Amino acid sequence: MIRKFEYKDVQDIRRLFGILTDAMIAEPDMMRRLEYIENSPIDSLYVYESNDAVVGLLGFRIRENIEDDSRYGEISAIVVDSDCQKQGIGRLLMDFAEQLANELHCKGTWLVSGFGREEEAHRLYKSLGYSATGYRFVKQ
Amino acid sequence: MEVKIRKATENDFDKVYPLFEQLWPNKELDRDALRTVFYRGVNSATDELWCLDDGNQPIGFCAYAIVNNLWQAGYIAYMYAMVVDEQQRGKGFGTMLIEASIEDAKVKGLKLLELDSGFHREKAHEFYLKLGFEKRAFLFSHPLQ
Repeated sequence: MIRKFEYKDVQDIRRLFGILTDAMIAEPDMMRRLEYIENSPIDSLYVYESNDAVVGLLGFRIRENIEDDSRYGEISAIVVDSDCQKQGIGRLLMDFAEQLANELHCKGTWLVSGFGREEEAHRLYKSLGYSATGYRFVKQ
Repeated sequence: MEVKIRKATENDFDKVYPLFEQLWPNKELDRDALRTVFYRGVNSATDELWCLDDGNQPIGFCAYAIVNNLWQAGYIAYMYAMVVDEQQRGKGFGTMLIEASIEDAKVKGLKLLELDSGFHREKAHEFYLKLGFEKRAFLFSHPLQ
C-alpha cells in the first residue's frame, strides 16, 4: 500500500534514497529534509509498504510554470528496493503520482532522470507514455 | 549606450513581453496570465527577476526561484526563464545575466544553479556548457488528459 511518510521511516528512506545517490545521507541531514517536506506546501513524500516493510518511495511536488501559468506535478524522486524491482511497484507509484496530479488540476507530470538509467528507468517512463523533452543543466 | 543589470519591477512587463514571445515562439501566450505570473514573481520573496538594459530598453531577462527539495542539502537557485533579444545575441549579454545571477545566488548562500532546457535549444546548450554548466540528466514529461 502507498501511504504518506512518517518520521519513523527515516532509516528506510535513507536506504532507498541511497540507491539513487550511491551515498547514504546522514540521519540528521535526512531528518532536516523530511521536516522541510513536511512543512512545504508544494512537496509531499509517500512510501510503498509491503508486508510491513517499506520498499519504495515517491516524492511529489507541484510546479507552477511561468510559461503558460499552469501547474505540473513533478515526480521529485522515485525508488524501489533492489530486491523488489520488476514487481510493478514502480508503475503503481507512477500511477499514484498521476492521480495526485489530476486531483490537483495539473496539466501533466514530469521528472528528471540521470544519465546511465536508460536501461531500467527510462524504459518504464516511456512505457507509461512519457517522452524525453530536454536536459537538466547544473552549475555548482 | 550603457548596459546594466537590475531587478525587474511590475512596470517592466510590457517591455519584457516581446522577449517572452521570442523565448516561446511556438506557444500561444496568454498575456494576462503571464502578467499575473510576472507580478507574482516580482513580489515574491523567493523569486529573483532580472532585466539587462541597453539604455532604457530591456534587451535581456532572466528569473530564478529559490527552491529546496528532498535532493538538496540546502537551498538552490532554479532558473525558469532566460532570454536575450534575438538582435543582440552573441555579444556577451547572456553571460552577464547568468554571472549576475550566480553572484546573487552566492550572496544568498544558495548551493547551485539549475535550469532545464529543451532538446531543440542546441545553441543555448553550447552556451551553458561554455559557462561551466554540467549537463546532468534528461527531462521526461507526460501530459494528463
